[in-house]
Amino acid sequence: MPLVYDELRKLAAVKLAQEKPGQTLQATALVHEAYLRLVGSETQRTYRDRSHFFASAATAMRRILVDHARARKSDKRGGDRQRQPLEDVAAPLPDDELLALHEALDELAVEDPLKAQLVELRYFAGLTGNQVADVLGISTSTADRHWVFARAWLQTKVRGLT
Amino acid sequence: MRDEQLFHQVLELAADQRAAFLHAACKGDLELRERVEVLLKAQSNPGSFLQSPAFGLCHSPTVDQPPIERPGTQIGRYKLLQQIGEGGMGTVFMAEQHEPVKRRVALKVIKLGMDTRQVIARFEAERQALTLMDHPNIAKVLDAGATDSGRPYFVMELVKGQPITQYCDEHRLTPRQRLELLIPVCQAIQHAHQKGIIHRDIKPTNILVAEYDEQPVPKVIDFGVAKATSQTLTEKTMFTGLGQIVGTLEYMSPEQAKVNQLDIDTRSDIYSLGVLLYELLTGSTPLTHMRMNKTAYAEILRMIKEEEPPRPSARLSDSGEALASISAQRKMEPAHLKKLVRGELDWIVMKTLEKDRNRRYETANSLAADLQRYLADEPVQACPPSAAYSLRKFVRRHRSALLVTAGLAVMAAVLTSGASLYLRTAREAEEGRRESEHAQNITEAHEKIPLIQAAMRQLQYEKAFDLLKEIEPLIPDHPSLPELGELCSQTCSLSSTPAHVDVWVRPYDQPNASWSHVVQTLDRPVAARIPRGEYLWRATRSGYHEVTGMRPPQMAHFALDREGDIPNDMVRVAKGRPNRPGMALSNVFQSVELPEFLVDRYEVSNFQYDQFVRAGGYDTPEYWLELPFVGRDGKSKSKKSVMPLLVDETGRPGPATWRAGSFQPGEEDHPVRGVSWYEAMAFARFAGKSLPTIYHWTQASQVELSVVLAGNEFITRSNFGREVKSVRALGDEGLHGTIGTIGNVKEWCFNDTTDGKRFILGGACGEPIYVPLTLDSNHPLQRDEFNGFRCVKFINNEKGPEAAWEQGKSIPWPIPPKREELMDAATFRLVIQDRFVYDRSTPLDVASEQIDEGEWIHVTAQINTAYRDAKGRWERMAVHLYLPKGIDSRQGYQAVLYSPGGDAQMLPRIRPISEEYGLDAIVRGGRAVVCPIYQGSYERRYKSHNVDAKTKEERRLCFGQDMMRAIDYLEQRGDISMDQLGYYGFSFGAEWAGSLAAVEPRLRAVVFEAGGLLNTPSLRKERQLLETRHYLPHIQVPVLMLNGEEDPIYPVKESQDPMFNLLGSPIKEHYVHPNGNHMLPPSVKFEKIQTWFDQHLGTPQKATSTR
Repeated sequence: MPLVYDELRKLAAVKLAQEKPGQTLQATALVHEAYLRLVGSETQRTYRDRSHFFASAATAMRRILVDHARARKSDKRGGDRQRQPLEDVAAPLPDDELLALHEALDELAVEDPLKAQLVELRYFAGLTGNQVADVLGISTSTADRHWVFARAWLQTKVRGLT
Repeated sequence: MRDEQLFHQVLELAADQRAAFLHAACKGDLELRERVEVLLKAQSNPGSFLQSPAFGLCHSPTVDQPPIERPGTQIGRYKLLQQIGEGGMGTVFMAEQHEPVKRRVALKVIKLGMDTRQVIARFEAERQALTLMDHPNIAKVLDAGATDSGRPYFVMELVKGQPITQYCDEHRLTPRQRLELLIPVCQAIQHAHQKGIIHRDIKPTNILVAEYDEQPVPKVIDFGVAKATSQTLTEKTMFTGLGQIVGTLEYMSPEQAKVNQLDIDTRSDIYSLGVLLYELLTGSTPLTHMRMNKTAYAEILRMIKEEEPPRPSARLSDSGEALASISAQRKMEPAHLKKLVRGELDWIVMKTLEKDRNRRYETANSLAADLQRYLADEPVQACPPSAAYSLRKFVRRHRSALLVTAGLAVMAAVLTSGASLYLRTAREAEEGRRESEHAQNITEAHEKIPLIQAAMRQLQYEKAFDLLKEIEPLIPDHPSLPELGELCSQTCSLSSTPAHVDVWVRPYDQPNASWSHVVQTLDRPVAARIPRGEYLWRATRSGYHEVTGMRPPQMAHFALDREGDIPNDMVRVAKGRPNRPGMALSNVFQSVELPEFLVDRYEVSNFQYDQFVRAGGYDTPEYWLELPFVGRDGKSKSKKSVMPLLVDETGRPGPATWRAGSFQPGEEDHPVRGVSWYEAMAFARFAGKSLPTIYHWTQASQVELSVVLAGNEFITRSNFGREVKSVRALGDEGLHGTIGTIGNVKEWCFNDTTDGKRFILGGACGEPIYVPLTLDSNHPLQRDEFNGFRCVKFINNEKGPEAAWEQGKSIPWPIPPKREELMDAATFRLVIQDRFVYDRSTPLDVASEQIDEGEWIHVTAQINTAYRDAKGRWERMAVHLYLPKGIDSRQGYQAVLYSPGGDAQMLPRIRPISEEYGLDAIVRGGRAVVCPIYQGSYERRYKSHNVDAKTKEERRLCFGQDMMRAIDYLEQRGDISMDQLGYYGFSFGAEWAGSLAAVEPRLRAVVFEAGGLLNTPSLRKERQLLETRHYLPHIQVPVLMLNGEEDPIYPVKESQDPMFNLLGSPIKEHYVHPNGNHMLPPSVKFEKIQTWFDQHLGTPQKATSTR
């Protein structure tokens, strides 16, 4: 567990070092919030293993992004243009698409929970194909096949049949 | 999902074939076809959809880059030696400074993206003040600067210690001991405050406890660093030091938690000390990790500023199940701990934690003083003392005086009534206190019994033994004590000549531990008890040479020689019959009886040998007189024709490893090596000593008994690495105190084999660790780089090696091959092959992980074996699979099943494949390598090999089935080409384990390296299943045997040839490497292996392009 903790701290440090000057800290604060929730203490919160940790991290990230997308959507007072949207940090999807993805993922989870988790890990926690395979205990080639399919499937749900 | 299957099938086709395929596959199901088409369209046009992750939580390339500063890097005047710590803010290295003084320091490189100039400027501003600090409990900050990569660094006095909380818990310090440890910390902080320095970041990791003279000494580190690196909390900086904040919030004072608060003074440090004190007493900080974990950042800051923490005693009461372990870490019973903390300690802590800093202790010293008052049973300042409180204190402080007074009843009578009331109260209180204290002690003693049991379960016998000694006087009649004592300790019988010798022990695996005194011997054996475990013994008496070594505790005898009576660096070997349990010719060894003799503690060093050379040893005829010179052809030679061969690299007389008549600089304490048997003999004569016979060597080294007494640690500590080490640098002290008998260099013995060689025992660097258990021999002229020796000296008028040699003259070595009737195919199948059969349909339940190790992918799979464990579940086994890169794996990988040498059964874990006899070369050659951790190897090694034949049979079946299950796993993977499966076994893996090729039809080609048939008498009565010879005729696949001409374990004529001749394979080849030993040179063997597998399995296809 301390290993993962260190990885995260290193990552946080690097992320901060790369921060553009003048950028508001809101997005960063969110990331930190997630980090704090996840790794606030290495002794008290015990993850069963690396896989469990990353799975929790991915879910937390997803929830935070979705919450903020929802908040922005409902917040129509015009202040959100000054408040830097999250895209600057990570370039994820537009809010509508993110929320659609969120729903589609839930749908996928009913049919094929493994693939849904795989997407969460790859997209929301940023794990590579190899790492995902590692975490899920499947071979890399299987993980890759699942990813190709899940992405195509989600795309049809989120972007329609263009 | 039918959609998914079709989707993948189509994707594998060329674009122009897809439509037709889909049309055919959907058989008119238009909906299905449309769904798949939509998916395919999305797949072919992903745009940015999910292209890059929302967040990089895991390794991104930038994170993976190793830090620029690493051991070896020069930073200013400092050279980094090794990393000793890593925190939220930076990485700490041990570094070496040369100018202006040579010393070791700690150097911390700040790693966050901080403004280096500002950091250094802030540090410089405080530098003057920092240099004024001089306190034994402060690690000085010496220097600061910027690295070449632009990161700030700090240089500090090097402290090798543990964080204070960790130290206290690990050493189970009582609350009193903890307070005593905190007092100097307070004083150190006071000292800094007086110099105008505020620490600002007091927390356990900044207070390290190191032991000096076995006394714990706390040292405060990082003074000036916090100030320089952290600004006050602002919107911006709230997040600049995430790691730091995570670690420090718990210790942050309310004023530090305010945004834009610039006004921080010494009382912030007092607050942090209070948090630390809180934690030392209760095991948790006022704001628990758990709580902070669940709480948003701003909310945490609010809690620090506003929330009143629970009193320490209340925290203890609320800590539920954790209280038991918190108390145990403080050597206290839970109720007692709560009682102890309640009251004064509560008050002291709460005073330091006041939100309003004006109500805290004003200085760190006043906190220290109050703690001292508490410890001395004086009233503390922290609370205005009530009358009752003062009285209670007074009574406790004057306990003894009052007792005396109370005893004098007459005197009591003349006291005023008020005073007598006072006295009676005092006496009753005292008696009550003593009674309750005694009852308390008894209760505590009872409660320690489970702790003893727990310690024994964790094999911490020392700890269990210490606890037991503690409680024995309190509850001597407790029925569990005798049994517990038996389980956690061993009884020793100790004797010595002369008497009155001090006997000490030290755990064998802790060379840096101090010696514990056991007992002083008498003129008869004395009994003593020590914790269970493996020990090195030491016996001392002034005026005598000290004796060290291992001893069987049941009867440990120490014979000490007066100083000057025996040469320095020789040790006395007890008389007896040399024992090689279970080894070849053990019966012959046991028939020889040896009197006491002396042996060199160390192998003969270059320095010693140099004296021989400088004294003209090579030119002094008497040292070479009557040596039986023989050439490699076995014919007698004259001394004159041999001497020109005994020269160094430059042609001067001397060992083959020397140059220009001398050893390499700096190697004076290395063993002399590259010497022939003749040179060893001449040196021994020069030194007034002899070479040992194999009996003397065996009696002196006692390898087997050493392993029994010291466990695997004996082997671990001996040197089987790549290079020789100084003879004094080794820690593998043997039974008689000899060092380096096994490993380092092999050692010439006096006597010869039946084929004209000389024995050379003990094994050497780079050889498998089982070599010392065999009887190795070389031609006497052989001057290999690891051929060395040590000498013996005979005492008590023993005639010399010849006398001992006479007794065992008939030693038949090498042992001639044995003939026995073999089985026909049907019998073999019935008696042997069928017994390996298991139900292959049992699921493997694979759990695997894989790591990209650069040149290959390393897969570690846990699979079910074919048999069940003690709990009735399938026993699990790890299979390591190394997949090569750059190989066209579409037809599947070729794989080679690997079976290691016998050292696999001694080593605790599998080595990286580059150290498994260079197995990596096979992977580089394009084949996957499979290493099953079979039962009895590495992590699954057996405790004992000394088992009956039936158990041996069972183990053999487990081995075979484990290998077969590994092959099942390969089959199940689907990416291994099963008709191209090879087997490569080394030594044990080529002999005993190699017989797998006869019972496992899925192997297609085989290489045996360093294999042969063993003919040792001890193996003669084995069951058929255990006899390799029965398997060999039934191996049918192509076999390549690789052997060395000089292999001491499997000699060519007696061992290799008989094995080769028995092989049933129509295609077989035996390559004998000229002059080769047990192991072949890696380049030779891998070329042979590669060629063999290429021929019989086909050449692995390189990938045309990378995926």
